Amino acid sequence: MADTTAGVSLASLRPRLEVYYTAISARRTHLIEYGDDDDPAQFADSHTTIHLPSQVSLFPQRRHNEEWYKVALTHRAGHYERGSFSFCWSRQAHHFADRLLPDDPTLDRHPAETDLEVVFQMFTYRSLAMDLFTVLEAVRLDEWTRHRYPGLRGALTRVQSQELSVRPSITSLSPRNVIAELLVRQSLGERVLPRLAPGLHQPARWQRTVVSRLCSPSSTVEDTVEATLRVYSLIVGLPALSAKRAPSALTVNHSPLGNDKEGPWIRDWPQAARVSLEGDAVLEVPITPVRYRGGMGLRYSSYRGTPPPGRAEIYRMTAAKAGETSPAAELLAVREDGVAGPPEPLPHEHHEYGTVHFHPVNGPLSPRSGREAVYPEWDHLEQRYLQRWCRVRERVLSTQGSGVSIEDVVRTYQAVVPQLSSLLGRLLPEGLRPVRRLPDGDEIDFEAALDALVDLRTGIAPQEGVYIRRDRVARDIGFGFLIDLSSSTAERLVSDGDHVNAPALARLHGRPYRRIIDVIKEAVALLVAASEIAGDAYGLYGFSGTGRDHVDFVVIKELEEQFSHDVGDRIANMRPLHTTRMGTAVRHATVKLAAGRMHTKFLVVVSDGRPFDLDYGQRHGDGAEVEYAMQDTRQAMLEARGVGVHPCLLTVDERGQDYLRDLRGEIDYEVLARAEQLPMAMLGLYHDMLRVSTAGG
Amino acid sequence: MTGPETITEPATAEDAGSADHTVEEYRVRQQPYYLPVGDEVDIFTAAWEERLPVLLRGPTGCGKTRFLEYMTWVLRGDDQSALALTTISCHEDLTASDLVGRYLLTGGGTSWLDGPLTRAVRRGGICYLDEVVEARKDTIVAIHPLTDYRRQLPIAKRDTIIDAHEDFLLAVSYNPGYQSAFKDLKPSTRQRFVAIEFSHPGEDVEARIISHESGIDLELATSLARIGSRVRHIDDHGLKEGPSTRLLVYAGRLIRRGVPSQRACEVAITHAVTDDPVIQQGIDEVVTAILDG
Repeated sequence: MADTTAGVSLASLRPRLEVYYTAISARRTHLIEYGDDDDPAQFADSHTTIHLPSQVSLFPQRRHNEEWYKVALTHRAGHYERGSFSFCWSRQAHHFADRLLPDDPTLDRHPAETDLEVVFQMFTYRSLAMDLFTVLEAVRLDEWTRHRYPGLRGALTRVQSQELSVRPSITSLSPRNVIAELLVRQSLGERVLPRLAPGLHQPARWQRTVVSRLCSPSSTVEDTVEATLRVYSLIVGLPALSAKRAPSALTVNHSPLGNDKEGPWIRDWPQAARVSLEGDAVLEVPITPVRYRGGMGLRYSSYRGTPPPGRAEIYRMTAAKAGETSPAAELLAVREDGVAGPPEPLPHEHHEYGTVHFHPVNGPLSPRSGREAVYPEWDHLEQRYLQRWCRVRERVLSTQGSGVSIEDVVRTYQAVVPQLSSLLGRLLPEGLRPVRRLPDGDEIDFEAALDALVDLRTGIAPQEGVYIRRDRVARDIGFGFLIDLSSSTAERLVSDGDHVNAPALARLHGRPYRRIIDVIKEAVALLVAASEIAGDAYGLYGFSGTGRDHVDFVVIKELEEQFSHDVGDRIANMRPLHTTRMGTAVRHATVKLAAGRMHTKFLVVVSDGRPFDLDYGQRHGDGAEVEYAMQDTRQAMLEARGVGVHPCLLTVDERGQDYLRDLRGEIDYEVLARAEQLPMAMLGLYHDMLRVSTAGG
Repeated sequence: MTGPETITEPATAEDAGSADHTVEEYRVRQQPYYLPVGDEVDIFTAAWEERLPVLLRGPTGCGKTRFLEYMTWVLRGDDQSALALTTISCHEDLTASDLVGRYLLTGGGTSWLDGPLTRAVRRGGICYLDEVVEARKDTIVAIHPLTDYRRQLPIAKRDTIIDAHEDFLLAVSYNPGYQSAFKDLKPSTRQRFVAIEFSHPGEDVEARIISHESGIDLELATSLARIGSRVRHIDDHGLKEGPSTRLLVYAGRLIRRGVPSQRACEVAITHAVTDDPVIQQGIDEVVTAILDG
């Protein structure tokens, strides 16, 4: 047993590991831990989450336990770097000239299904095929890791040796299971085959030959699929039950077995669908997973996020035969998220904070009171504005209620964030700016003085301004902060428990945990404190709504309004509301800012996810609302720029880069991986904007 | 017309290790090392032949200035000497007079001194405004008459207009920065230039550059290039800009001087690109994973 004092926790390493994973994979992810008593097989990775054990204490040295996490993440990153999910049916394998994969799958195929999904449908025993693919692909990726990351070779060998040491014994396994287990052991670097029953010698040696082809750096996922077809053929060609025969050592471990074309491969693909019979469990070939590799989950499918419950099954139903189950449906039974705690509300779900219900409306709208306004909406698919399309209802946020005070937030943050005080101190207008060609000042403006002398000598009346005065930099800047108050802000922070300052910050809100809306309140409180120090004009607004005829625009503080206790109470009273029709809210905020008398104006939009509303693009078809909402938001921000308001978007969404990349180069934006980063990120952004706007003149 | 300042000999023996050049007389003496990554050489050559002003846009340390020096060599004249290259580093206090020229008091009179832009316009060659967005917009507009069909430089204080030399070309550069629109060229200025976009080269090309510039073997240079390409992926974690090719060359040069490779990467890359301790730790993990031993 390893010295447990050398053990490491995921929580202690998570920040740097997330940076590391982003670097090597070019992807953002959220590391989620599972407990020691949890079954890792229940936690399949997704494209945006990786499940890892909460603790690793397998080795006597702490550094080696840390490296276990690195090996695990590097393996997972390899899936993307090496194209594990980019299998292309028409692409030829590099190392298997004899193609077993049929040129035409002749299978019913849903348009959205990936080629890899279609491959798995060819097998009678689909779970076995997927497990074999996972192991064989792991061979390819681990060899790649050795080649690409030489600094990890020692760690990888160490981790694999440890995994080998805990593999199940093969003595009691059925023939099929023996070959499957030998495959896993070979993938972990086992060089010497154990004693096997004579009937397993040939299959074992064929398998070794097949696997060795994946060890080339030029091997592709198409090679892995060909290898899967072969190894699957070997396994299902064996009896499912053991015959009592004494094992004997292989005469030669690695002697070549002749041409690949002569191998005992199944050549008639696809196979018939499996008919489930009682007692079929004995035919299963379960493969004990390798802990550091994780499960493939649904990443081989075309989904980019967690589907609505049950939707994936419905989505994949074609002319399915009775009794057929799809791998996707089987895997959906696996929990996607291993986070403990109370279930979180689904995004955009109505909850106790909102009582307005959605009623679709037709045609253009009109304001019905002085506190309503109507705005167009940009339809990027039709390349035109929908005139008088959205109605904003503006209201001042109530001061009734209880919540965190600005003073408490600032005091708590000053105690837990040492750099806060210095950051706030730097917000005062700094430095002196030279003002030239003045009639009086501190220094002579030599350029002006020379011009004056030249004019004198040429008989021209000189200008009197020959001095420089250094004036304290004055700013004429206004900020509008537009805060997303959608229902998703009610979600609890997933990783806040690992944050060392989390208990103190949670106590601010009278709870043992924080929600996204709590973090937003903290960020707004710090911004108010900063803005009051800096002396710049600022407005605070929130937005939500339910449909295009009810975009809820909440005023917390107007641009020209003086700070007061009422403003503090409104901040404390911020609540999650409904949806996120961001484009319309940006337009209304732009109107407010544009009317301000400041020379420079910024609009900072803070959101916890992509824009969404119940009738925000859905009329163009399923899935169209994502791009529609982003394009309308983008257009609204460009309109703001056109009237001299500089927009900026700050979003707390680990998937933010997926839908914000199109803004790059046009609109300033920043993506935060975690909500708890928001307060200091907003302060930092505010400071940067002040500095740049001051320097730019 | 006034001439350039007289070149002075080094005043003391201690100054003898340096060399003075007048700005319009500076030329590269031998072919600079530059590996093309796209069609930038062809584009610039065509722009030169048409005398179209050129804008080089790209992250810091990706080779914009080196490219320009290389092009002065490629486009050298009949006498086989490289084109003159006048470089002006722009900053917030740069005035139009700094570019165009000013009157000086000499004895009992005044004399006009051409600025570096004016001297380049008269003599020919490439005038390169580096980091042009750092200059104030009212300074930048002074170049507008040179960038359209007129190819002229008005000098209001002398009430003269200078026609640009037939071999004069204006080039500017800037680093777009981290998703920022705050520092940008006015559209009326941007649309006077042919824009060539620069980005970090691919790993293979970057490795060759690092190997050549630092003197380390290609295998180690490949590791440094891989570190650079990986760390650049962190730009959304708070890293404003990933390591430039220049920093990777610095790391290589330190390694060649005997600094352990991990330590060289720490000082030349990790601590150069960020102060955030978490990002530094993440970068260190990347370096450890990629470097062999």
